[in-house]
Amino acid sequence: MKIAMLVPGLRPHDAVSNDVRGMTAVLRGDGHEVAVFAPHAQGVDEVVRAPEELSAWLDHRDGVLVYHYCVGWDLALNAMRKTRARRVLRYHNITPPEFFTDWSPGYVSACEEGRRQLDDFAALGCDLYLGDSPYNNEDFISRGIGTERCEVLAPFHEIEHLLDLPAKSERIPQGSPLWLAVGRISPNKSYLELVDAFAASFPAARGDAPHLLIIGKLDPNLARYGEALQARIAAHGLEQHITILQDANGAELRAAFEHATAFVMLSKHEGFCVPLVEAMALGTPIVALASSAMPSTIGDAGIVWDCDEPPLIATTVARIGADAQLRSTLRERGRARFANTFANPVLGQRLRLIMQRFASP
Amino acid sequence: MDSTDDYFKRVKAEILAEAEIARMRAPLPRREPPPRGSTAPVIDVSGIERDRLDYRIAELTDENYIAFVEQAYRAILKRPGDEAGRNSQINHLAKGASKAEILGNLRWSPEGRRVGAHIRGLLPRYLLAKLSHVRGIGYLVDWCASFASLPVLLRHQRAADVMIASKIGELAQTLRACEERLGALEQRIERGTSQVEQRLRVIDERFGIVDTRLVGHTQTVDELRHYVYAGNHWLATVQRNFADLERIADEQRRRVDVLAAGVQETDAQIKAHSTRHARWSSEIAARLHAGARVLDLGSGDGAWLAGLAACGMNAAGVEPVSPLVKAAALQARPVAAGDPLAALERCSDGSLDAITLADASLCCGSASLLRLLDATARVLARPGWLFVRVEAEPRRADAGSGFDAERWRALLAAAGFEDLAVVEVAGGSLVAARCAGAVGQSVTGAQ
Repeated sequence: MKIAMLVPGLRPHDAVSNDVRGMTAVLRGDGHEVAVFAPHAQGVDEVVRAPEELSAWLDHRDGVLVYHYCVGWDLALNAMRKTRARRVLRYHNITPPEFFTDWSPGYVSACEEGRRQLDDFAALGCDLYLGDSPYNNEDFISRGIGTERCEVLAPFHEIEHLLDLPAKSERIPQGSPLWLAVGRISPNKSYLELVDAFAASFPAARGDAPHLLIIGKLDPNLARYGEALQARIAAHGLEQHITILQDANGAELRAAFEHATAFVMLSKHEGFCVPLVEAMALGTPIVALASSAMPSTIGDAGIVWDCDEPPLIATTVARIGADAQLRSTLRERGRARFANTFANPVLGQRLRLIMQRFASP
Repeated sequence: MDSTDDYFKRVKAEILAEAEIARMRAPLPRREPPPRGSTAPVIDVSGIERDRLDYRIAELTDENYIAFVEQAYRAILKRPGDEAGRNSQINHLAKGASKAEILGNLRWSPEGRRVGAHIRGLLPRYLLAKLSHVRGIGYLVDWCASFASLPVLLRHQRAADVMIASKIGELAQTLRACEERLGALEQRIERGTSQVEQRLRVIDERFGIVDTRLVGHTQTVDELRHYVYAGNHWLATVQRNFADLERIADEQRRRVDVLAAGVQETDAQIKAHSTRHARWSSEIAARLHAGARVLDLGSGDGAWLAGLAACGMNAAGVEPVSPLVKAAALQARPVAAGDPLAALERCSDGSLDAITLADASLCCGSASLLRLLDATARVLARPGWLFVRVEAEPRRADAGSGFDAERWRALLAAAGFEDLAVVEVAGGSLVAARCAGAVGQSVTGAQ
């Protein structure tokens, strides 16, 4: 069977790109002919074709076009409209534009356009809506798509590669407790609220001073949010207790997870949140806000709260730091959830099961 | 044993309770609103005319490559180009697509339709461009269109040749200007380097001077340090000497106290004294008139004075040992502290009717027998009496003059005293002698 993967772009260490490559590898392993179509690609070992070649390559009804939907892209919408092949909308979610209202008109415009296409794709009536999480599928179920055409498949990832890397801890702060947050520096990730929660850990801190390590890149288009984050850190007087690494590599990421007392995620919008799975795989206890897709990703492998009130988050991290049994329980649950639910081989089995519906023309 | 879920519920309940306590203990951290408009927006939105929807195609094709695509986004979609879309259109251009096709792609995209910009003359060009992509007929259409536009293309080509030649000329001129600028900069750098080296040499010289002065000051400081050490040593020696002096003084005070303690008497001794003194007092009273002025030298605790007073005499005493003076004061006896001879020398001539003297008191103070006799003769009225008490058990720790009663009698007789008598009582003798000669006359011939 010919399967085309259409994606806005491919780059290393990118969640959507990792998913494309993971799905491609599994499907090729099952004997399918898979090609990746993207307008640009850099730093990946995959032969990428131009999207304009798609209609010529996938020109019969037996094929499957999988579009990885994560931005507004007219070309892809048109391709999905015109193709004669069966259509799979792999939905990674698009951040609601209101998160960027105060920070970036460009992001607001792009996110508005991206979410506007939700209606277009719902109207297309694709053969399968394949969300990263049940939360993602809600966007289409609420637009009248039947649940029989919706499936959930967590994104493929590079975590097994991360587990094979030697930890490199020269730049990792040695504070205790060490709070860790991973993800691009963006308003929906609630880094301002994270700093507030971290600040609340100080009145009760005993012994070593706590430290917050943020690993994530700041898009220049969100520079104002970066400035606001620095201002919030300065307002709390925590410049010496918070480290932001924008250029951490895999070995440093691994060391950060291993040293961290807790992985704290207060994001208000996540389509899946791969860093949560990284924390599970590396045995880092998780403290998170029960927003968007995070509860379904975390399951029973972390402490999830309905609010991000600073004393509550600070107390939770302090408890994890002081309670060896709790740490051990969270670590075991995280590793078990990763092995049973999110390991790439498990995801591969799930993908095969889902793709069986396209086995016959 | 709790199940894991129960354990989790219990832990979460405990955390909630701890958080409530923490919330009460500390106020919530400041949550300030995000800065609005405090800094310039990062996205450049210049060139976006939101109210303008009518364009001529020539307005949008002036720019080339990326600038052309970005201008097209801003004019047709009223926003900056997003990365994916912009890259896609640039790829089209790189593959030979016409600008009209790019403008058409944007104009008739779903977003472009919603915006609804009108670009005069674009539609036929866009349709022609799209028609050229249709298999078979597209090639023919492309060929025909190209052939038809050959004269125009040739004009463009010639114009392009001229423009390129012009640009090359401008570039060469710019290059020359850059080279001149570079040469000037190199000269400035050389001059600057030379100045820096010169200043470094001056700094080196000044450091040398500072080093020399520093060595001189270091030597002075070393000398001062030796002086300070010597001064410290001298002060330590003085302190040691003062300590030795204080120790000797303390030792002497202790010795005086030991001596004073040595004169403490037993009850039997006190009774014997009382009996003896009563007898002697009556002997003295018999020689003097009532209210006679009597000075006792070496009065001890004043017990002797009390006996004289009881016999009607006006008696006072002098005692050099402080503890005995204090003991006399406690019993309200008129005993003054002081050296007996010094006290006697302060008395005026012929001012006393009698002087009583304990033989043992001669061992104390500055008393010398001859000076004592002289002073006695001077201060006694006429008739005036000297009484010397020689007691068998000495009341002081050491011996007195070493004379017995007979030797005192012989001594006083030799010194010119008259009416000598010895009153023997058990345990002691009282030697009585009347002073002869005129008032103020020395008995030894001394002045």
